[in-house]
Amino acid sequence: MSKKLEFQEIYYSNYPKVIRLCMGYLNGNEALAKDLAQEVFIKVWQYIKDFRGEATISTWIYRITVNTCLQELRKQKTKPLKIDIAGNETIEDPTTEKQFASMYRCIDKLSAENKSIILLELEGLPQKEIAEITGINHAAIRTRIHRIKDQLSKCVKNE
Amino acid sequence: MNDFQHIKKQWQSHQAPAPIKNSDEIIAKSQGIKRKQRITKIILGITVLLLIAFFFYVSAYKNTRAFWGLGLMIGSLCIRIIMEYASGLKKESFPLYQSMLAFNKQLVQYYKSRRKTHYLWTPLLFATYILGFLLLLPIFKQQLSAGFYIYIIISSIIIFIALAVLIGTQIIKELKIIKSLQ
Repeated sequence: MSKKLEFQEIYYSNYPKVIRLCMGYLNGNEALAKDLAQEVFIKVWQYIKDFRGEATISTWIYRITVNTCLQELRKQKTKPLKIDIAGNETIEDPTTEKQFASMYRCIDKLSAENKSIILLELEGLPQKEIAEITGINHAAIRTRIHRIKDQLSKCVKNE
Repeated sequence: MNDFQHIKKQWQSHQAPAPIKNSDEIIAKSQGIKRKQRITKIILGITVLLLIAFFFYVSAYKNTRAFWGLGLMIGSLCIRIIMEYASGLKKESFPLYQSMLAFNKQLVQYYKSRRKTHYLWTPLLFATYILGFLLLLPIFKQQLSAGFYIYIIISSIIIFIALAVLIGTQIIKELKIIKSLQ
């Protein structure tokens, strides 16, 4: 398979999870998340020659996404992000829209590390893979996920 | 179903927005970025060469004061340009595909070395630059009209203050990044 075709397959099969993760980091701001997802895939294309297959391609892309998003968050720290759910054409129900807005707000209250952990958990990744992506040991991840889950659930409930 | 499972289910039901660009456009954009980086490298190289050429063009080496004045100004500027470029290259070389903690560790090391640049090298080079300018002042006074001489002094003071503010802002920004990484 040519390099371009291989990238095309990686791009389309991984784009949904990358954009969802980016939106989670950016308080649901879809326009910014699209730009960031684009940046992630530019990096994927640049680094693809370094991919050794030691982890799955999905874990490898998640690592690039997490590091790129965290870098962007550090840059944006001084500018408060606006929640932009209304512009999302995929959500039509206003109740769902509200629920998503409160979810994003609650995620945004977490620290950068906890945000990364819970966003990966929300994506349904096994804890072992979350540990591989973050570099935090498996046992610590388990404890932290438990704590963040409680924190997030309480926050969403009180919103 | 507990509260978190409900949140998770909702999260996963969220249909992701479609990409704005296709894979070929992403590849083209990546190549465009590489091209721009090459152009930046060439421009920086030319700037350094032009500054050195200017030193010889005005025959600064024939006059001791002009030699030191212009030499210190051009030298400190060239060193700072090269340092900044090398620092940018170093940061770019950190692979984003490593784990979040490993990447953060590299960034912390990087920003710590930047702190050394900001607290030691930048003030030192800035002072050298001003010293070079001060050495040139008697030559300016001798060879330029009084009005133009005053103009040079006032505009230089404004430029130096603006530069100091710009450097200070950049330092504060990077210190905030270090804090957020720890």
